[in-house]
Amino acid sequence: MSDDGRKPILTLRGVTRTFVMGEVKVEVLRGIDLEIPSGRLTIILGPSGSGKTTLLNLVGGIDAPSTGELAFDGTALTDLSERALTRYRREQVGFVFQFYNLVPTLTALENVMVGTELVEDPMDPRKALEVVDLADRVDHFPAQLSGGEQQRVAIARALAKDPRLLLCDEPTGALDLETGRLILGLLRRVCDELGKTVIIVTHNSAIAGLADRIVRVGSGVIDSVRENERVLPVEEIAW
Amino acid sequence: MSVLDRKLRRDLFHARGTLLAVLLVIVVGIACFVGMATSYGNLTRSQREYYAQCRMADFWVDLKKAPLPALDRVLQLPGVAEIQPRIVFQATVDLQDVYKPLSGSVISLPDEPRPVLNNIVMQRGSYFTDERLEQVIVLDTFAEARKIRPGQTIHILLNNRRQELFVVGTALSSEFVYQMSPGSLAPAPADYGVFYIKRTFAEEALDFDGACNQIVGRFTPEARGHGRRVLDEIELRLDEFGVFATTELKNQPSNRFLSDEIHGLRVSAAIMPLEFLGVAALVLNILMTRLAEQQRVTVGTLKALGHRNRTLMWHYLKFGIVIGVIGGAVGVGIGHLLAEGMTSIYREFYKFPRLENHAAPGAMIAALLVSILFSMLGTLRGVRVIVRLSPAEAMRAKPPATAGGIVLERFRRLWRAIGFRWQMVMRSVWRHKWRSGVGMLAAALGSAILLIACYFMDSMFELIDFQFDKVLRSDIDLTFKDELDGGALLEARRLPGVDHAEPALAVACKFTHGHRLKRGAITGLIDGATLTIPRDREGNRIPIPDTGLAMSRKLADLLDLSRGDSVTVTPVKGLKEPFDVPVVRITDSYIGMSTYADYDYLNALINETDAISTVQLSVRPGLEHRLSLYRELKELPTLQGMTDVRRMRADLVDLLLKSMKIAMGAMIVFAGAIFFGSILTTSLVALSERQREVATLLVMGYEKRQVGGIFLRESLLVNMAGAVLGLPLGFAMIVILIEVYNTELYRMPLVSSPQSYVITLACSLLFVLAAHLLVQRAINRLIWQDALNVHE
Repeated sequence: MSDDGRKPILTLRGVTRTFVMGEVKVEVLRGIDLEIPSGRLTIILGPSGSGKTTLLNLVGGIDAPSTGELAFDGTALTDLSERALTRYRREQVGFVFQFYNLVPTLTALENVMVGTELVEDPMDPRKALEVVDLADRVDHFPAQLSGGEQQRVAIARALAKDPRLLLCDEPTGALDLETGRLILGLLRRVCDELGKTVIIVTHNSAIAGLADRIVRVGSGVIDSVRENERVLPVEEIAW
Repeated sequence: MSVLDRKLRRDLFHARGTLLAVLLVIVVGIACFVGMATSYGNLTRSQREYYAQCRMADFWVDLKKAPLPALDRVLQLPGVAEIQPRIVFQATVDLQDVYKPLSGSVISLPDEPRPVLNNIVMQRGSYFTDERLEQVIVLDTFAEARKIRPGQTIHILLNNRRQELFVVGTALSSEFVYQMSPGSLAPAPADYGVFYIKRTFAEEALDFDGACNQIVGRFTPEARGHGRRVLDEIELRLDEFGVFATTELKNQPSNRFLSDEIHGLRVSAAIMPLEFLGVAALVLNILMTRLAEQQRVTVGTLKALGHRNRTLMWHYLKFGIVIGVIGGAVGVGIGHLLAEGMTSIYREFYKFPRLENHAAPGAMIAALLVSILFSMLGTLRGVRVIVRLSPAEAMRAKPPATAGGIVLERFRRLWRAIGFRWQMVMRSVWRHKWRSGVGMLAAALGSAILLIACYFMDSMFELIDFQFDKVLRSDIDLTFKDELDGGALLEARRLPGVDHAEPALAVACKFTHGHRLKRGAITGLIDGATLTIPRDREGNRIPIPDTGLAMSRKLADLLDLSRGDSVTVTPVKGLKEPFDVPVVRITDSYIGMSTYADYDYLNALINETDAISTVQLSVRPGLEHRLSLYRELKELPTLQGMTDVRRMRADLVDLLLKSMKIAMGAMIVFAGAIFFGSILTTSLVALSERQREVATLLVMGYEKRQVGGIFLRESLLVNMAGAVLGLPLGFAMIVILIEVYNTELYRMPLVSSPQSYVITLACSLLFVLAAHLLVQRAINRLIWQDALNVHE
């Protein structure tokens, strides 16, 4: 059980991740112990190079820890085969990236369909775009959309698969304040109204107030984990 | 259509410029294959049908004269299925509107139409009728060229008598698909005719009552594999009737030329397209590796979304399949048209009643599959890169390429001297070793193809020059019915317009050395002969030895003879007594396998004095001399044939120029396709990789032309280095080709003229510059302001 009494959806025990670059070994994560509660919005805060994106990649199943244990809903991800890990990403995880990572040659709708094609009972892709308020931009290509719109397509793409986990890597990193707020509001709603577990990784401490739980990382270790007593409405967030 | 397929469609559309370049190479390769394979099918089909229709013989036996009942002993031989006697003579033809006497063969046919061996296919008029005896059916190609129509009369010199013959029809025969006069390589439909006459008329006119001088026949199916043995047996049984020659179908001149062409097509269809498809696969490889790198993030994202490796692999492999299908389909279409063109060229050289272009579904399907296979091979490397990427790694920016100096930088002075633009170029070439290597290889193949094209041209002209200007220097050769004495020479010298005349004696014989046997002839030349001069490869005159032979290198090789060895010679006419003679000299020739001996020495060997079979003439220049000579020759009763050597030379040059124009054109297109395909792909890929670098240079104030110059330098360095490497490669291929075309009929001289190398490199340079125009256009169109913000 986590501190607030909710069952943790993700559990990390002694997780490390080392990269070998030529002759240099870089220890990006050095023994992470962490629990992420289900249905809450967690913000992982840390400066650039602190290992937060690596942490997100590990829980998203797109990278594997060097040592330690990592479990999703009681299942050890570290024991899963490549195939099972793909299934995990497919059914449980939705990703939102700083630079949106949309397929440039597909329209907004098609970019969402890239995700929905993979799962059995997905959300209607058009509906997903309605949720992010892009119903009128379905046939636009990424190059014809603003940064905020592209990020909303990325969120729609992630949501449409109906995952339990929404992992966002610096989702406002490339956006101005106004658009950033819009995105953050959207993510908050996803958590509150759809009951998804949302993890946002950011270096921007100004948005920490939006979280239910704030995890601070620095140089590959967890500095602090704290529950946010007063969740700020998105309008009060500024940077 | 799945979303990934839509992505595929759009990705293909975005990469269309580069893909078109790759497609060009694939299309040329496939078109080449389909064109040659279809033409191969067309020729073999026509040959098979025609041979069946005419009941083409398996063998020919030429003899002096044999009574028909004696032929039973041949028919009784195991291995002989069927035989037919014929009366065959060489003759001169006197056509009213033609100044010179023409040569031809007169062949007997049954008076009534019957399914004989080597039958004819009527084209115009009718078969012989009962109306009169002196009827003739003229070979259609000759009739066509000389405008002879049924109903006309022609004059042929038969058995020293000028016979008037009534033309009843024109016909084709499978025996004369490739119709040329003896001693030539070029078809000469207007100069050499075939005249079919009634057997009863032939018997009467040529004094061959109840006899024949040629037997054509067929082997039993079991004996086909060892026809030579059966022929030797036949020769033995008919020995008393003076067998001159026994010829298997494979050595029959027309069939030989046709079969050589068919064989050449098959070999080329198997080898040439592979070069193109190999280059296409390599170039596609570069393109796909680049595409995979460009789509790193997309691949990572798709993987993060839960797409399986297998799905993505298949997605990228489909790139190759689509390219293979498009290239294959377009190539098949163009190949079919190419076959149409090739077949119509073949129609000019090979005379079939029907030579049509039929689609070859087997070749088409094979071409399509091969195209897909090679395209998939080309995409494999890119696909592998994609599969290996872990999603997290894929989404991280690609680490910068390994930096560091290149070897050349150690030579500091030189390095500094070449300037920064060349430094950039050298580093880029060095760092993209694989891409540079592929570019070089493609350029090497392209330049090798160009060199081969130039070589063929040089080689054929050298062949003509050597054979018709250096060895054979006469203007006109006259052959006589039977060996005549010196009187014929005196008569020839007195002919109007003749400047100089020399006698020659050709003795048909068998050469034996150990277990090796070859049929051929020895030509006796007088001491100091000037109209036939045997030479070595370098063109040096080889004096005829007083005793012994000067043998052509090809024949000596086939008989395993070296200078100084002794060979057994058995004349096929006369006493036929074998005698051993030393091979004193080795000569070189590119047509046939001439062997020379001293005129008197050869006469003595066959117990003759002053026997003459050929008189070679040099004729005074001027039309009036020629015309009066021709007038006299038409009246010469002993004349069996007249060879207009200069005309033969001119015909060969014409043929060459005509076929070379086509061949050179095709070779240049092929080489161009390889150069363009490779240069465009590698340069456009390099441009897409270096967009940011290009944009930065433009921001700094460089002109687009200057930036293009950097790409041009790179292209020049890689492709011209490749083109230079292609020269030895091309030369090696030429040496192999010479070996392939080294036959008893003809051989290709190895000529290495500096001019060919210069033309090859100049053409290569032109291709590089032309391809660069398109690259420069791409640079001019680059929206570099966007490129500055490229996120990779």
